[in-house]
Amino acid sequence: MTTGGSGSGASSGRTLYLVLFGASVLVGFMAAVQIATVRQPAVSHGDIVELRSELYQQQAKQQSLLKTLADLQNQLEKYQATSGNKEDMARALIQEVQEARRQAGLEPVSGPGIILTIRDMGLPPADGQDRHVYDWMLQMIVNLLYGNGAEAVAVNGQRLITTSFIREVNGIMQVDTHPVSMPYVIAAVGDVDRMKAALTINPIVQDYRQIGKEIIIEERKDGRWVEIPAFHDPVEFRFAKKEVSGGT
Amino acid sequence: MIWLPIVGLVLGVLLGLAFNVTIPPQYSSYLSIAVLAALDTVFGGIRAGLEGHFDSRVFISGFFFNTLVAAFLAFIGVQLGVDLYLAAVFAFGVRLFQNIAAIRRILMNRRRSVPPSP
Repeated sequence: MTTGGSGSGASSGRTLYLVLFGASVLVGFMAAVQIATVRQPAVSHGDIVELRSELYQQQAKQQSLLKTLADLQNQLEKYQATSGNKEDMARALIQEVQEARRQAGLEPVSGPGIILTIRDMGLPPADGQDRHVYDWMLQMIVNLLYGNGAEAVAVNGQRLITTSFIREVNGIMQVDTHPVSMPYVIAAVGDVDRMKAALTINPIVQDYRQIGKEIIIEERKDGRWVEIPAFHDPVEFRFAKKEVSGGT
Repeated sequence: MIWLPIVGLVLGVLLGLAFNVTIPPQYSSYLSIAVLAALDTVFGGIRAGLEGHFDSRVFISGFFFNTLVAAFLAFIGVQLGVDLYLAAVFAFGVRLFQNIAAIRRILMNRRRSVPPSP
């Protein structure tokens, strides 16, 4: 291996020491690198069995972490439409979540809109006339607003979301199980002109008038905006599961 | 002149510590074997020099070849799940001691036969 051949004399001796010197420097450098590497983490002074079991534990941990990593990377790739750094991406994700929450009605909103107040005109009672405001009458108003540019609607301070309902239970009006009563105040943020026009044209306002109720429309365009609270109840889906293959 | 390799060793260690180079921990076992093999080769070279049959070509080729083979052996061992690096540790360790013993004997014989020159 290291030895063999022949050679003697001054020049050979010089090369001997030169080569040995170079090799020693190299060995020393390698040793120093090794020392620096080994010294880096806290060295555990266990025997080989202990180290092995620890190794297995760490490997199992690594496996699970790798799995998590793969999942997260999958997720990341979905979001990674643009190439950017991680901070941008995190900010984009947070923005996306906030946007989704806003669209879902989980955040309070404010903006131009109208406030409808349905109240009794105080007419004397008439025989044989039903002057009750039924749930479908409120539903029609809300539907009319949504159909004409309303982006967020609240009935008596109860924010409506996709699963919201308005119904009467034993003559008591409920919005998402929260009881509400006269006067009904429907606040809507959206296209003021379109909503107002729709309410003017639609015969529903006349229907209300016939049963002795008046609808007061207050429009808010500049400065004083309509403020609509967030939906506060927990949103829970017990039956609707996420479509896996459909993509998100 | 026998102290020259030792000076080199110290210089190398200082150099390595000064640069503070580290390698990934998973490769540290390979490097340790490589260091051992290189150290063995250096002592082999010193012994050959003292015995008067040193060949720089053999030394340099042996230096790098042994180092790489030792690291490769450790690598194979990891792949097979066998602690094959122990074979390298054992072989190089034994030879290291043999070489050091030979160097010691040569030096002692030289001191005894030739009176130390001023």
